[in-house]
Amino acid sequence: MSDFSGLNIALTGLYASQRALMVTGQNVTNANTDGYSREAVDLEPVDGVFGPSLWTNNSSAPGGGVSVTGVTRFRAEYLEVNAALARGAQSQLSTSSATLSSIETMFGEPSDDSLAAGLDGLWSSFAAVANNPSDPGARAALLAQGTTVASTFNSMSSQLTQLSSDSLSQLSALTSEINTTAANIASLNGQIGQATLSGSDPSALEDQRDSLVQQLATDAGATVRPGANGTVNVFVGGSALVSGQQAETLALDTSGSSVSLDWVNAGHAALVTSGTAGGLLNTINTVVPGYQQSLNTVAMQLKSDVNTLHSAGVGLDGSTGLNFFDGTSAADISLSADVAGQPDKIAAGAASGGSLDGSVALQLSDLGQSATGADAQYRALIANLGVDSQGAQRNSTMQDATVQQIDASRQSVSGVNTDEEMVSMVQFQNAYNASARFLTTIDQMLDTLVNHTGVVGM
Amino acid sequence: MSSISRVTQMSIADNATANLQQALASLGDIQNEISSDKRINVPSDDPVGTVTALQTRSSIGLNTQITSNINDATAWLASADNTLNSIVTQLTSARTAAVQAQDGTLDQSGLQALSQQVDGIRQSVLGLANTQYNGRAIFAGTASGPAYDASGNYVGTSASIERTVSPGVRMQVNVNGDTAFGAAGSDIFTALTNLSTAISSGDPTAIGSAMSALDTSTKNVSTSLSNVGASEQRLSALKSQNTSDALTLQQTLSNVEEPDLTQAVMQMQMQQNAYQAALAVTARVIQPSLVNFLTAGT
Repeated sequence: MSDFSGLNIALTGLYASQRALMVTGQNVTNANTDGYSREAVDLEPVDGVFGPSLWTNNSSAPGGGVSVTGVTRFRAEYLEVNAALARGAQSQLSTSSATLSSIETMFGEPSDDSLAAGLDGLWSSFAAVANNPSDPGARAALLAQGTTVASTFNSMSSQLTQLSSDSLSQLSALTSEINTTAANIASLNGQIGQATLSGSDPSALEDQRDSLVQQLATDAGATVRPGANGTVNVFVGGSALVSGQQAETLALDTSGSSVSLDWVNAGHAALVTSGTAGGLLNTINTVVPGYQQSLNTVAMQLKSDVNTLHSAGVGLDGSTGLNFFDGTSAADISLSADVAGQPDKIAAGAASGGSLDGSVALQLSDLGQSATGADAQYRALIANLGVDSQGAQRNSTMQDATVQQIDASRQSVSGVNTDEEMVSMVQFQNAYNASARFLTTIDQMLDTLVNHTGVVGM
Repeated sequence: MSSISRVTQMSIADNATANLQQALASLGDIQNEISSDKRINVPSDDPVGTVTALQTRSSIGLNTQITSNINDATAWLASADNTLNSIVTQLTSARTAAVQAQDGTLDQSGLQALSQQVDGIRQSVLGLANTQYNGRAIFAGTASGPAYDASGNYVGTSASIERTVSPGVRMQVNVNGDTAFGAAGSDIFTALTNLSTAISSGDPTAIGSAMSALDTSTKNVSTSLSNVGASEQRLSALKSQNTSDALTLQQTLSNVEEPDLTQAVMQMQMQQNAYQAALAVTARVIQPSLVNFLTAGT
C-alpha cells in the first residue's frame, strides 16, 4: 500500500463506471431490438495488495478499487426451450387453420351458388321433367343443371389439388430457408465457441443465434438443447439438425405416396410434425387428400344413385340402359356422353309406362330427400369441415395466447426497461463523478505532501 | 400475467399492439356480420347452424318445387272436373231422350230424330273424353296420343300420373279413360251406340236395357267426378299447408343465417367503445418513460 495507490483506486472506479454506462447505452439503444437480451456489468471489489511485513496487518489493507469481471446477459434457458416448442405448435396450428379456412372458402357453403344449391336445382329439374316429360325445355334445363353440378364438383376438386400444390411449393421454399438457417446457426455456434474460449463477449452473437433458433422452431418445429462452450444443438423430429458447428440438410421428397422431408446424409425421412413445415406436410398428406376423398365419395354416390334409376328408365326415343353421369371421381364427373346434348335420351319414364310416363324422373327427383344420398353425405362433409376448422381456429388462438405469455415471460427476463436503464445511467454517472472527486481529493493530498510539506521558512 | 414481475416498454408495446389487433378484429367481425347480413359466412362460424341452413335451403327448394307441382296438379284436376261435369250433363240429356223414346208415343221420324240426338251426344262426349291440358289428353294415361280413337276405342294407357304434393307424399292427378268411362265393351260409347240403335228401332225393351247400361256408365262418371272433387279438396288443403311451410322455412333460414340486427348493432357499439378505450389507453401508456422526466446534465 502506497500513497499513490489511491490514484489507482480512483482509476478503476472511473473505468468501471464508464463500462457500466456503455452497457446501459447498449441496452437503451437496443430496447426495441427483437431478440436482444439486456446486459449488466458484473462488478467486484479488488483486494488490497497485502504483503506480510513488520508494520502491516489485515485492517491496514483498504483494497484496490473495483474491477469489471464480466458482462451478464439476462436470458432464461428454460423459457427459450419452451418458446421454441410453443412457436412450433403455433405455426403448425395456424397453418392447419389457414388450410381449413381456404377449403371452407372453396366449398362456399352456405350460399345460393354452391354445390348444395346445385344439387337442389338438379332434383327440381328432374321434378320439372316428371311434370312434363315431353317438354324439350324442361329436358334441356335438366341437362344444363346436370352439367352445372358436374362442373362444380370438377372445380372444387381442382381447387383442392391447387391448394395441395401451392402448399408444396411453399414447403419447397421453406426447406431451403430451413437449411440456410441451420447453416447460419452452425457457423454462429463456431464463433460463439471461439469467443467463449478466448474470453471475449459473445452476447451479440448469442442474441443473433437465439433469434435464428426461434425462427427454426417456427419453420420446422425445432427444439433446442444447450451444448458445450455456449453453443446450442437443434433437433428436428428427434434427430440433430444442428450439432455444434455441424449442420445437416433437409430435402423435399415427393417420390413416395406421401410427401416428406428427408435427411440428405442419412437418407431417411425426418419426423416433422410441428412448425409451418409440419402444418404444410399435414395439409399435403392428410387434410387435402381427406377432403378430396370425401368429395369423391359424394360425387360417386350421386353418380351411382342417379345412374341406377336412370338406366332402368326409358327415354322419349325409346332408348334405355343409359347412364346420366359418367366419371370416376369428383375431378372428372361429367354428363354421360349417352345423354349430353340429347334431351330426348333422358330416361324420364318407366319401361312399362307410356311414352309420356314421368315416373322415373319423379323417383330421381326424390333422391335429394334420401338419408343416405349425395346431399346427406355432402351435408355431413360440410359439418365435419366446419367443426374441424372451428377447432383449428380455437386451438390456434389458444396457442397464440400461450406464445404471447411465454414471450412476455422472456421479455420480463431479457427485455430492456428504459426506466431501469435511466436509473442505472444516473447511478453510474454519479459514481463516475464520485470517483473523479476522489481522484481530486487524492491529488490535493499529494499536492499538500509533495509541494507544501517541509517548506517552513522557504 | 401475474407471474411476470418485470415489465418492459417493449412488452407493454407488444401487449398494446396485440390488444388493439384483437379489439379491431372483433369490431371487423361484427361489422362484417351486419354489412353482409349473414351470421354464417363459412361453416366454421357455426357448424351446427350450417347444417341446419343447408337442410333448410334444400327444404325451401323442395317447397318451391311442390308449389309448382300443386299448381300443375290443380290444373289437371280442374280440367278433369270440368270435363266430367259436362259429360254428366250430356249423359243426362241422353237419358231424357231415352225416356221420351220409351213411352211409345213417337212416330218413326220422331224416334229417328232422338236417335240422331243421341249420336250427337256420343260425338260430343267423345270430344270431351279427348280433352287436352298442356298438350296432353287428360284421360289417356301416359300415352302421347288421344284417349279415344274416332270409333270410341280406348287407346290410352291405364298408368297413373303422380305429382309430389307434400314432402314424401304423391297424389294421382289423372283419371284414366277406362276407369271413368268403363272398360272396352261396357264403356260409355258402346252404351250410347246401343241406345241410339234401340231408339231408332223403337223397341221399349231394348231401350230399357240400353238405358240401364247408360245409368251404370253415368254412375261411373259421377264416381270419378266425386273422386276428382275429393282430390281437389285435399290439394287445396295441401296448398295452404305448403304456403305456410314456405313461411316457416324462410323464418328458420333467416334465424339461422342472419344476425339479430338489434343485438348485432348493440354489440358493434360495445366493440367500438372497447376499441376506442384501448386506443386511448395505449396512447397514454406507451409514451412516457423516465427519460421524459430527467433533464440533461443531472
